[in-house]
Amino acid sequence: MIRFIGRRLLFLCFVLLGISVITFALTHLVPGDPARLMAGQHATGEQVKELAQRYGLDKPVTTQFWIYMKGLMTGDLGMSLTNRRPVLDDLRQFLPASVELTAAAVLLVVLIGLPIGLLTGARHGKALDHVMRFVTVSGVSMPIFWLGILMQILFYQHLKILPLGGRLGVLDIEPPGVTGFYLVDTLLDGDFETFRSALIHLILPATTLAAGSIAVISRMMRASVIEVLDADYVRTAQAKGLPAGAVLRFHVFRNALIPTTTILGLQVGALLAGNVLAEVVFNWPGIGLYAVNAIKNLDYPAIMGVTLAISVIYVFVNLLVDIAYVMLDPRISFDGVA
Amino acid sequence: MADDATAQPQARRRSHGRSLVHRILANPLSAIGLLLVVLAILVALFAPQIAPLDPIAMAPQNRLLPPSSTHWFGTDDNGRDILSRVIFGTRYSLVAAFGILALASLTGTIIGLAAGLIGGWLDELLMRITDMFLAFPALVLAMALTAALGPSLFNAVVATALVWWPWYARLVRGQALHLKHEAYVEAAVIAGASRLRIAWHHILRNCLTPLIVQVSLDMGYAILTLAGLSFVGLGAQPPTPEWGSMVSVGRDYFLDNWWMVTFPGLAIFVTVMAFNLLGDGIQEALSPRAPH
Amino acid sequence: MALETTGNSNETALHPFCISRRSVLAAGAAGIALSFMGGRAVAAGKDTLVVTSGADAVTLDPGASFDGQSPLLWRGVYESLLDYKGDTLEFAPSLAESYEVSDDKKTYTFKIRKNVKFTDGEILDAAAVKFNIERQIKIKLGIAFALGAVTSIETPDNDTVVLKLSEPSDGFLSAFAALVTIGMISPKAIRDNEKDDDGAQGWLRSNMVGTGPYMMRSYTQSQQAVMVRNPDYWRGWEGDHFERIIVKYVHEASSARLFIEQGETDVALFMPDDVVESLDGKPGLTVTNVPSFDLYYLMMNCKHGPTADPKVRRAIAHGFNYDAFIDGTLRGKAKRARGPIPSTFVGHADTPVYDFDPEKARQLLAEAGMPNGGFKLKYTYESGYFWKRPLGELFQSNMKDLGIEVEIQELSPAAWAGLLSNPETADHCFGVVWWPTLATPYDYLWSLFHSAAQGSAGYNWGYYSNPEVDKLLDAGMVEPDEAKRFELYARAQQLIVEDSPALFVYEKNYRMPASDKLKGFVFNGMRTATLDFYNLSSS
Repeated sequence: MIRFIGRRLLFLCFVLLGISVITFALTHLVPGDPARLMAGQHATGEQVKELAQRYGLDKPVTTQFWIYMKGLMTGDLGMSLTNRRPVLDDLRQFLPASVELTAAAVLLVVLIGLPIGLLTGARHGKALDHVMRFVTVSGVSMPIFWLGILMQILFYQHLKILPLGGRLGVLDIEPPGVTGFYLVDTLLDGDFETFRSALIHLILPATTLAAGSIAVISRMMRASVIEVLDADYVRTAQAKGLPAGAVLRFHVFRNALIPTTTILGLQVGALLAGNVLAEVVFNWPGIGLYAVNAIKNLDYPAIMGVTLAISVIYVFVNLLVDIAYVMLDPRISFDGVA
Repeated sequence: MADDATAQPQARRRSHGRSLVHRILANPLSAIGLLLVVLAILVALFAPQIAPLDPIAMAPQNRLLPPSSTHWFGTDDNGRDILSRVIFGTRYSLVAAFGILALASLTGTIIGLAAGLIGGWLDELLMRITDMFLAFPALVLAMALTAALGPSLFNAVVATALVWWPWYARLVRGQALHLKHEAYVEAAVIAGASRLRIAWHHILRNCLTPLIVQVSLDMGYAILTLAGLSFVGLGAQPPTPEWGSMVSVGRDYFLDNWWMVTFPGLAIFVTVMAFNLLGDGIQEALSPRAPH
Repeated sequence: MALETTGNSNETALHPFCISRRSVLAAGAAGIALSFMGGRAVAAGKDTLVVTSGADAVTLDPGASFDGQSPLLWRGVYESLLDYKGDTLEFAPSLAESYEVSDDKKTYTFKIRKNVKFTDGEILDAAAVKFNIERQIKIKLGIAFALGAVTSIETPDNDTVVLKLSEPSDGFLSAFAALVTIGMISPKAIRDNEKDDDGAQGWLRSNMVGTGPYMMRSYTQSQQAVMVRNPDYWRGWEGDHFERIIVKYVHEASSARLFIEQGETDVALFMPDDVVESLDGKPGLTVTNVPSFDLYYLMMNCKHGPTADPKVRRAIAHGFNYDAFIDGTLRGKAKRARGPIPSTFVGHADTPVYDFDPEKARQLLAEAGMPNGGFKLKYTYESGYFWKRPLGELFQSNMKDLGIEVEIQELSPAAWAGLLSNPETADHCFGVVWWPTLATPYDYLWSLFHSAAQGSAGYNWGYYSNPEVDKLLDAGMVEPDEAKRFELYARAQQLIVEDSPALFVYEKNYRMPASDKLKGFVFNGMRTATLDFYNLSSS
């Protein structure tokens, strides 16, 4: 297992290097002038030069890249041009928001998608087949940003039970930042009102994000449940007189979970990407929104920082999924998973 | 012998062709998909004839009108008829999505073939690069690329294609590796056929099926990606009547003018679903052993 | 000011997202036993002002940036030597009790107010003022560009600062009253937190130690800022003042609009024009409607292409339908601009105006050798400036009638700046809004029309160059006699209007949505998008 993880981490380093080169090259393709922007309309030429010097923007591209990579070794991700502070600080502020959102979405997917798949898998029928297929395709075809806006119209404007967006209400004060996860920090602070507010603000974005994945996972789960139910060892258990509930719980669920786990892993990747759209719609201050703004402002260090951060997360999540995969199915060893 | 080998797959394909449509139509959902796709293509082709009004001309006196008999889908912040814009939007979405897939599959196929057939260090190198792309959420990379090239629909297409080719490369390489060892290929090699000829006649033709399946499955996703990029402001720019861009503009007004976001979004939803249903049907028809 | 948030559902009509217990459970919080104890209630009321801003502050350090969003926060905590009286351009004393200017305009003497302390206990004296001015000059950012002529700063006694200049500098005094000014920071705080000779910019980015009425309690970039009263403020706290100021950064226009409509917030800043207009007349709200010094131009490229010919530019100036834009897109809340400087601003000269006259336009085009147009122009704008796209679209439509094709291109702000500040790639028309930092016509005229302001050195990205105009502006800058100075500027304005390097489109009224309970707000054109927190209260 250690060797497996080790190999994966090595791969991660390689990936990060490659991505750094590509992203750096890309963002510097455009002849932008961020120093001019930063200095503001009324700044003189010298002021612009001063800023360019301060942020190393006047050096040739290759030098800038080298400086950046060196900084990376020490954990220095450079200074954000829009926020004028270390990118690391920006990430530290915006990353937990995205993680909280994605975690909530994954929770919803697991809590809703799996049971639906399990229950519908236990029942056969062409009609149900078609319905499930239609549900899945709808879920996958729905543009996240459109779904989010419709949810806002329904739950915010007409039903008036959920907020329009943001992590907290206008008058809520942010809890002292311990973990960055508002649900945790508010509890740690003993502030139950703000906890409630944070939870309520999480509902719509998480649901929007999870919708497509719920559709996919429930169908995937159903398919594997059907396959498993057909398997010999299940029929043996049934023949032996094991109650249906027990059969479902012990044999079917666990074995059906295996292929679902892989898809779950892929879905997390999709969620990370969908994050961007959901964050834009719900004004959620996470790295997706941060990435969009960084890209629009050609904030090179910020773009690099976000790109690298997302890659690391992505690879790590896949790693965890693979480990879970192996642990769930004793037949598979780490060598088989690659 | 060589002629025999080429004749077989061709014959197989012809018989495929006839029963393919039949097989698709057999499944009600796939049939609906096919119908809607054909409808979308027709709308795109005959947009100028179908659309009641000019999608681009500004008419500020008509701004933000709700749906009515003159404007079925209402008007936008510049008084433009949304129905006409949605109709014209079909063109942009279909052509652009197809552009992405054509570019991506072309690039991916060439690279995949090279990797699979030539093998060795080239294969290793190309596969490492592919892995790298695959280890990364595509949307963010596409966003960065589009920003670098400058926000426009064309650049969004190029950017997305540049991010998607690895999937096709993997696919084609896998096929190439698999087919490399088929009897008729080895026979062709012995018979002295050139690498290129082998690639073209034998490998590629048999790759076509999984490629087509992949492309049809990806079409919906391509439309979604483009709409997403435009929504974020990195794809089509106003006043181009692209659906994602329309939803984005509508968002500033949506609480009082729900029609501006609803109809373009609905168009995306229906079109993507149509292609997904069709793609599912094609997949079922062409690879019977594919999982449900 | 804002209504209290409690768990009561009878406020649902006004608080869409303040919900009852049942809906919480219904909304999916099932299984979590929530204790609905009081917790920390946010006591909003007559003593808290809640402001939303659609644009983020850049830094809390008043000397380190030149932008329009950070001053909102600076003004609560930092003060400078002078202020403006009400809505005029007259100076009022702030940290300087009085000032004197020599006749040759080269020596400025300030008498510093006594008994003023920074919030860390340090005393504000002449040495502290000198320290801050020197810091500003060293950092070279913010208002430093207006201090270029300073040769020496002397402190003959504890309460006097004397600045000597190498030559007169028009608008020098306004540097100490401007929105972006030398905010006085505690020298101790700077010395204690200085790193690598940066003048403590790193630390001051997120910390504030000033003499002003409020102190920064907490600040989260792009999200919120909370300021509380400085109990030792030198003006004292008699009368009605706010106890606390909360600034919320709400980037979603629709959300910001809803908040203020529902009474959740009291003032909305940096809101798109459309949204502001939709709030006009809503109950409980007022939207200010006073002239400002913001002038909106449509610049043309004066170096390349057909627009290099002044005749063509004059034709285009006659071909744009100004009223359609003002009445249509701006709903009449603006005035047609009459020249490169706002008509309400000091030093405005009466210059001819190009009226919308397509016939005349076509005639001029023909005279220029381009009958029926027949050429292409490019118009570019950056994403995030809501007025620039409609301007471009109307321009495109109007030009089409003259036979001129206009291609519109949206770019990210950095790319836009990069494109236009490079003389080799810039050949576009673009929109720009200018507002003054210094109370002098020089502010507008130099940055936009002086030859030395081309490229990265300024904002003359239309690359207009007229040596006569340059001479007039340079002379005006150092002219000690006021009458002569304005004559020089008037002549410059005349020349510029004749050359027509830009369409002088409109002067916008300042439109700020606020609760009608807000008292004490006085708009000053030199202070756009900020609030004088100390003088505000709620009725």
